[in-house]
Amino acid sequence: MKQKDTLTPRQLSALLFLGVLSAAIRLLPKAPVAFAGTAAWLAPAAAAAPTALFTLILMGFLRGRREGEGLGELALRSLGPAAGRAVCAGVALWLLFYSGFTLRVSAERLLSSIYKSGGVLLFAGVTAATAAVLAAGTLRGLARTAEVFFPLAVTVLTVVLAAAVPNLKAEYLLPVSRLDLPGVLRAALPVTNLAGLYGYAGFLTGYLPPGRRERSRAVFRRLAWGFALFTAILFMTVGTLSAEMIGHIHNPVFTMIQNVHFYGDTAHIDALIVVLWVAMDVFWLGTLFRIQAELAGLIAGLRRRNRLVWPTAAAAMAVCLLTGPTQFDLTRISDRVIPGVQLALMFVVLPGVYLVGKLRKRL
Amino acid sequence: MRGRRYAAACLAAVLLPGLCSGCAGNTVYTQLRDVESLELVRTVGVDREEQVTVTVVTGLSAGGDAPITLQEQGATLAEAMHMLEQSASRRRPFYSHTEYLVLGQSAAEAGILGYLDYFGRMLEMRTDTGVYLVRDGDAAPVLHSVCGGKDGGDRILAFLKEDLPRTGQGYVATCLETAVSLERYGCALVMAIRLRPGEEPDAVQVRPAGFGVLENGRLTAFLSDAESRGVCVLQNRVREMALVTDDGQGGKISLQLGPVRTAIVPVFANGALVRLDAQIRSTANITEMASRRSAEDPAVRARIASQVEEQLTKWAQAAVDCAQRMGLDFLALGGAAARKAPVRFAAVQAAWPEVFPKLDVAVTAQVEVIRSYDMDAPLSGGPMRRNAETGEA
Repeated sequence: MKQKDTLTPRQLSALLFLGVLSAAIRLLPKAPVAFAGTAAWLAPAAAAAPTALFTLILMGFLRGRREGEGLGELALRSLGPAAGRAVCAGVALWLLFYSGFTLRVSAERLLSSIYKSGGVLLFAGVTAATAAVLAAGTLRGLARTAEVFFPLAVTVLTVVLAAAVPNLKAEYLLPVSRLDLPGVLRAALPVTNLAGLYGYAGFLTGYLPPGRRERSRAVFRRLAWGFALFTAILFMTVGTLSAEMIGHIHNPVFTMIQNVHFYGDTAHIDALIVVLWVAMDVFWLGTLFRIQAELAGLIAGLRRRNRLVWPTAAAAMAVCLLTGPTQFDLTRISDRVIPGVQLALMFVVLPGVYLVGKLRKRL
Repeated sequence: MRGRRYAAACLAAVLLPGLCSGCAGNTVYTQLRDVESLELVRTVGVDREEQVTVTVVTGLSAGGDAPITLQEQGATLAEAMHMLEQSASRRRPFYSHTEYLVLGQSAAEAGILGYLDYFGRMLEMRTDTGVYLVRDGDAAPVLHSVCGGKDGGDRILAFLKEDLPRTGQGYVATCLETAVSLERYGCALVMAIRLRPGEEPDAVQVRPAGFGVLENGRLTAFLSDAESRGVCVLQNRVREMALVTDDGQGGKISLQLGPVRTAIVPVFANGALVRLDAQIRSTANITEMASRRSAEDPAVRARIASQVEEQLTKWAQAAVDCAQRMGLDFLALGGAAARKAPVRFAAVQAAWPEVFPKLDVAVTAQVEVIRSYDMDAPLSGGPMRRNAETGEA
């Protein structure tokens, strides 16, 4: 691993947070509303405990890392070369599928929100190429760009959510009672799943400077901010569109933004939001490509792993073109396949590897 | 190497914006059109007989030119819109700034779910577009004569939308609100308007004509003026309202009501819902008083308040009676009761459509006269005469 290519925990966090935010805008309103209806905006509060548990497991695992090690290296150390490589290969293949899916969804979003007569190939190709250019350089470059972009994305999202406040309706947010508890608990699953994406940061911790460890308090503070943003997104979409309509709408956040007016006049700021959203996708895909390259390099024993970013992007592009092929298929994958695998990684694979490492006294 | 990269980045920074300009056709935007080549549609009207007829009207131009009206037909709204785009010779209709959807009565009777779906699905449209319904008529005449006139555009409809909450005669629901109400309660209210001859020859005016009631997406009835006012009172949609009462001695008193607030309180006995209390509260200000009695007299104020309370109760009761008669909770009383007592109401929720028509709904109102502006006492029209016996004025 190149020791010159280092980044701070803050930069790493910004990079991952942008990816999580992009997925949150896409997934958040629909999935929790399907379980909890009007009470869906309470789902982040219910997801706090399982997310905290996952974070503690992840941080416990990462505490045993040595200089230049990430989750991949730790898996190899815990499970031994063969089983460790197999697990890393499994995660890399999963991420390949996930990045191909993300590419496809990103392109579909442009088609369903702006360019109704465009083609997937063009949008996915440009997004993949841009993400690959960013990821193939130094990780520090990608992370610093994300660090600069992060406040812009959060500010714009906050302003847009604030601008939608006049459209809020109490009757769309209430009633909420103890009878909603089972639904809210089930709705916590997709939110936990989403927060778990942040855990992919673990594969890049090898780039943190030697001796620089992420403090628990800082991690939990960032998570708390993330959950506040999740709650705000859910609260505003449910409060402006209603749980009933969210069930019918493909991109609820986008529909909410379409109805935002500034000073009663300026409308249709949605194109601006789509641009930001695509930019967030680019950072997220860049991060995913880089993690896959790291894992592939680790399995193959390569030193200059960033050279694997372009082949990874090409493979993701192939997955993207094969995924779907319709918007309905993508929704099915998003609702059923991805949450299942993601939760298995968070609460089965990661704790399992950690436990084996501890039992074998390799950590 | 670094110098070359820097030079390449600078070159790209100079050249790439050129592709974004939209000039000379060398652009990255495949659907870019100059604003001059667009007709900014402000109002869309839909009528239906055998086919769907769509009429669109643009806004007033900056130069004061009359709005442009276009009309086409198709089997569905989408097809009619498509035909419209094809027939528009000079400029392409652009719907992103559409503010109002005006439905003819025949179109609403045939069902509006498809139109709401179209507004949700179409990229350029917004779901917060206001919905009007033309009572006893089609949308096309409204769009031609009211929106298409030189003083038209969407100004008149916009003015009406602003004015309605101040008069308590109704409110303009958006496509989204209409869709939510249909999904939630199986019914919705849409503001109806009616064309009336204006003062000048060939001039027409638009007047509110109560609410149209949609049941499962189809227009089934209209509410009277009193019932519509009752809806506004019960749904907290009255921001202010002018009312006239009498002083009991032949004098008239004009009042300006403040916001009218109604609380819906479910009353349970042994776990069963036995009654809904609709508790209306408001304030009144005296705006004109041609009376021999002063509003400083508490008895006068009490009489005024009692008259307003009676009027508000009458309107609200009329709306409740109508909803119960039709068996449709278009007043969203079930939702309001559920918010007040979510756990206990959950037992009734599933059977609400059967429970609601037979439920006892008690409407009460409480109004306080709080202001008479800069006139403490009304003009007497002459010197005060004192009662010879008592000495009182």
